[in-house]
Amino acid sequence: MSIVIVMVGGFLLGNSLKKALAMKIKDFLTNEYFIVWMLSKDADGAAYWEDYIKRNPADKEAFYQAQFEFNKVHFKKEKLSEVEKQELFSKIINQYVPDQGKSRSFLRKKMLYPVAAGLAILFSIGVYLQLTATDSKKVEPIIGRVGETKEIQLITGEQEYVFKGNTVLKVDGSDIRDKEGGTFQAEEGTTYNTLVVPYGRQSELTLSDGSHLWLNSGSTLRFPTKFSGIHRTIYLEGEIYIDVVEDKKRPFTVETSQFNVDVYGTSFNVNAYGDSFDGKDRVVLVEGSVAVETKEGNRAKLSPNEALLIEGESLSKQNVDVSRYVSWKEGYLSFDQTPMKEVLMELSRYYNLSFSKESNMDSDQTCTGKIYLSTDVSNVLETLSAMVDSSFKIEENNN
Amino acid sequence: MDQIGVIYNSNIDDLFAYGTRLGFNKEEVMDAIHNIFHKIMLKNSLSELDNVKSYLFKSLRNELFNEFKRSRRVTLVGDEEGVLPFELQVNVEELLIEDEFKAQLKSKIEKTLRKITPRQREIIYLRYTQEYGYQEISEILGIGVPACRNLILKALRQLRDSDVKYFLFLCIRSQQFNNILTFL
Repeated sequence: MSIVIVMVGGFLLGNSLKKALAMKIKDFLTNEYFIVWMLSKDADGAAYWEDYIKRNPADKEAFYQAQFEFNKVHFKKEKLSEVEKQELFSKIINQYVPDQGKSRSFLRKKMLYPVAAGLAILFSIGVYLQLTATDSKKVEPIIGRVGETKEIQLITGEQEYVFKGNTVLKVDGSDIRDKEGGTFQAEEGTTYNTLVVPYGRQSELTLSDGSHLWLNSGSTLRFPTKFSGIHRTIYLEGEIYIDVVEDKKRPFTVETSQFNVDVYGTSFNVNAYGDSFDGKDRVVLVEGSVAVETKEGNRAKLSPNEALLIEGESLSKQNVDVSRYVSWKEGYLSFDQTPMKEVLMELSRYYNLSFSKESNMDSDQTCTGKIYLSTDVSNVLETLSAMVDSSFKIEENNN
Repeated sequence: MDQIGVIYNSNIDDLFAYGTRLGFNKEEVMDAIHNIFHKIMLKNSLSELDNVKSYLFKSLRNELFNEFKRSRRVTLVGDEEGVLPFELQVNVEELLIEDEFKAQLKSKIEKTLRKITPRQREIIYLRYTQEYGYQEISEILGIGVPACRNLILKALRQLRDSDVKYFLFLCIRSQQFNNILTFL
């Protein structure tokens, strides 16, 4: 009997102790003198608190815990994006002319103008990304969207080039060349070029550092003619598969509107369409090691054969069969009990198709197997019909 | 060129954050960072420096302050030369406390920081984020070491006096707390 009472008493004491401790920690945390002392770390304050603890030994634990917690307080910091940092650095480096005795004011004037131009470019990029980001969120997933451009576009400086069909490009010195021997003069130095791949098309690109990438349908990539400084950064909206050439001195970053992928010599696939069926962006690692960091500062490292799903602030990892995620670059899609919705969504990307709402997309039908991405879409639909025992009908859309 | 790249990459975030805290917008801070790096490269003076970071902080501050004097867009705060409004916001998300108390604590810290002068805030910012000693801070701000330390002591004493009553209450309660312990 007495044991029972002691136990209850002990329990109550535990709780009231905890409560008293928590309250005291809060008292310290909200004490103005404590706050300014913790932030300034001044020796004078340290002496005061030492004396205080001597006089109030019961507060010792609360005091240390409050200190421990307070050390997690941060000041809010404004940050530049990786691309902005890179562009600012390029401006600094590109205008470096060893002093030849020119007067300071002259140099200053000369310097300010290109900076202003640089900022104007940055500004327009910001707007562009913003617009595409909102746009892709508005899209209803079931009806595929028809891109404005039907052909691959390369925008470099003021120039805009249009390619017929899929294209293989390579950055070569200050030029960009295609497989057929065409040469496109790129914007000089480290300015970023834009490659737009519409639905129904795919493109391959070798960057100036030798890194090789495949850009999937409905994607936009911004890349510099030449990487400068000690960071290699490209900007993506959509999906790429990339083999990054290792260079320990110059880390490689793929930046998307929601997260960054930091790489050190590796192959991986980034899917950042923002309109996938599950509403998640995805990074799949084939080889090497990458770290993903969201704009909110959440970070995760990936090992080979792992996929990271990114949905807003939440990150989740899965072990996956990577071939299923990277087969698109080999010209086929591979499915394993994949819901029909997702299959049709992926197909609509390649062939610029919309599936009508009556196509029974909500059925729990799944699809397993490979579909070769033949140039004739009716072949593909035939294969699909056989796989899932349904039929499809193509109707011309006149917009 | 490699050296400048390393210096740029390891300092750009701190410099940009500091510049925006000084009350300038993104373009102005980027412009100022551009100019200070440019000057460093023209002078080729980095190898002579003991502490590159505090030199960069000081240069950025001077560059922005010259800009501020030139444009006269901002009204001077206080009567000291070289004082810029130094607004601070805090983030308490990582603390292991309930959300309600987080909001309360955040506003308490920000309110406390508004009670002290911009210059005192700036010193606190440099000490807390960069862990600088008074020597480095006095160089960045261009004031003497004793003046720098006195500013912090003044802030601390002012707040301690206003909190005396509060701690009396704390002591009384801890007394009761001890009584409970002896009783059980």
